[in-house]
Amino acid sequence: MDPSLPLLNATDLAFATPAGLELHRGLSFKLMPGHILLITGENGSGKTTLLRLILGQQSPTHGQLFCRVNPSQIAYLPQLQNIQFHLPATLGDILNISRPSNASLQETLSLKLLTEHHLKMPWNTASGGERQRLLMTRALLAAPKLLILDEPLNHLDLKSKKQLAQAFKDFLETPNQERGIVLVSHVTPDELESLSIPVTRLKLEPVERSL
Amino acid sequence: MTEVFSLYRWAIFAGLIGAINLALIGCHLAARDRAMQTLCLGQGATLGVLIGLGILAPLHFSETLYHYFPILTAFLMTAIVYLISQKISQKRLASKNTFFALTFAILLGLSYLASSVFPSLEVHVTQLFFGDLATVTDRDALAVITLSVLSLIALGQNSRLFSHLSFQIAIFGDSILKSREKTSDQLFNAICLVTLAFTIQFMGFLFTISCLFIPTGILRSTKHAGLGRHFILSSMAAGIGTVTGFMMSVANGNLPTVPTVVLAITLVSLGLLATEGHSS
Repeated sequence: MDPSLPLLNATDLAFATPAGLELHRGLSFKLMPGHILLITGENGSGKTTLLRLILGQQSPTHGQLFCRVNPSQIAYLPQLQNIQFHLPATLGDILNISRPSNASLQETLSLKLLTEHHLKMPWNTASGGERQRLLMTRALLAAPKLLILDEPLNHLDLKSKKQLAQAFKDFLETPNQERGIVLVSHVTPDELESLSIPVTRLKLEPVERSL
Repeated sequence: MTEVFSLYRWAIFAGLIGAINLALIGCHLAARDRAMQTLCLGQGATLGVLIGLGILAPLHFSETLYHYFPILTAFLMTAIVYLISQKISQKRLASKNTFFALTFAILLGLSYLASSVFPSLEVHVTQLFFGDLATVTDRDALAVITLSVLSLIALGQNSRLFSHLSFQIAIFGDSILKSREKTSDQLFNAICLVTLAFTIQFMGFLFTISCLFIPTGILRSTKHAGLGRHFILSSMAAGIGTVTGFMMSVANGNLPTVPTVVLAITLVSLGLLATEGHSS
């Protein structure tokens, strides 16, 4: 991959809800390798719909959105609904059934989001933050080129947010890898700035509609 | 007892393997919150069998065709109910269970109607709902064993993948699945549909639904978490319960086989839960 080319490039983009209600028009942005594209906005401002566009699950009504990353190299972590799982799986089980088979325990622990104690913990009794850290670990172990995260900071305490920000930094700075992160959040996380991670900000304002 | 075992050996073995297969499938169906949908699919299979028998009854076809044609109609009916229910589920209704309950009621009504339209089917209705493992012929038992072994091989080979899909669907919904994962999910669904069509035709609705959901429903709250452990315990409960219930029923002529098996599966599941400890 050419590091001078953006991973994502949107030009004069317009998009609507699946029901046809226009959310945005004239939106342009880029995500360069090694950067985080931070998408913020109020509830209902179209953040999740924009993610669907990036994932190719929905088409824009106008403009172009070019993604240079193969869909198989994109990891998407939706907003955690924090619900119970019928099967009594441990966090370790969930990693085991989903991570690449060559990922070792050492690699899992090296991300510093989980400890060995966490891996024995049942999903159904783990806290929201512990579940979120497990899902982040799983996404990072898949070693994608593009990581798309919808509200990953929900349920996390300050310490966990700092650990996650460090994991983002390590992920983006992996040598010889052109990687990027798209992060949707309703708040601007201060932890990213403190680690000097390059962040491109995109604030979505709701389209004004006449009544 | 040896004589009894010798007489019913294929039926017992079919019950054992069939129950283990159903229990493992049930773990995934319950994880995906598809128990109500499965009730509808099972009722669809029941209606399909009745339609198949009803069509063939007046035509005096060979016994083999009379025996196996209903599996085809059961599979077709189950597939139709599955496609319709999936379509409705994807519309994200506020209450999917209401839709499944009304579908079940309609299919139940149609099944009874089918048995009235074809009077010769009345005896089959009771057999299809409550089953009788003691009347399963050696040929039918071998058919169930073959199907169940094939299904168990597929479940074993794809255990990690199917568990991963169950987790993804349960926590994030079907829409999260990538195209390759969707193909794997279709394989799992195909296994379910074929298994339902077979086991409902030969073992009955009650046995099928009980093996699917009683073990996993009771054993999900064991003290020690672990996916592999849950699969093993659920299989054990279904298998031991089926064999124990069957033998108790044969030993006491007043006890019908399948209801006794259902009771035995419940008691074995509760016993295993007590042994393992409850997570409270």
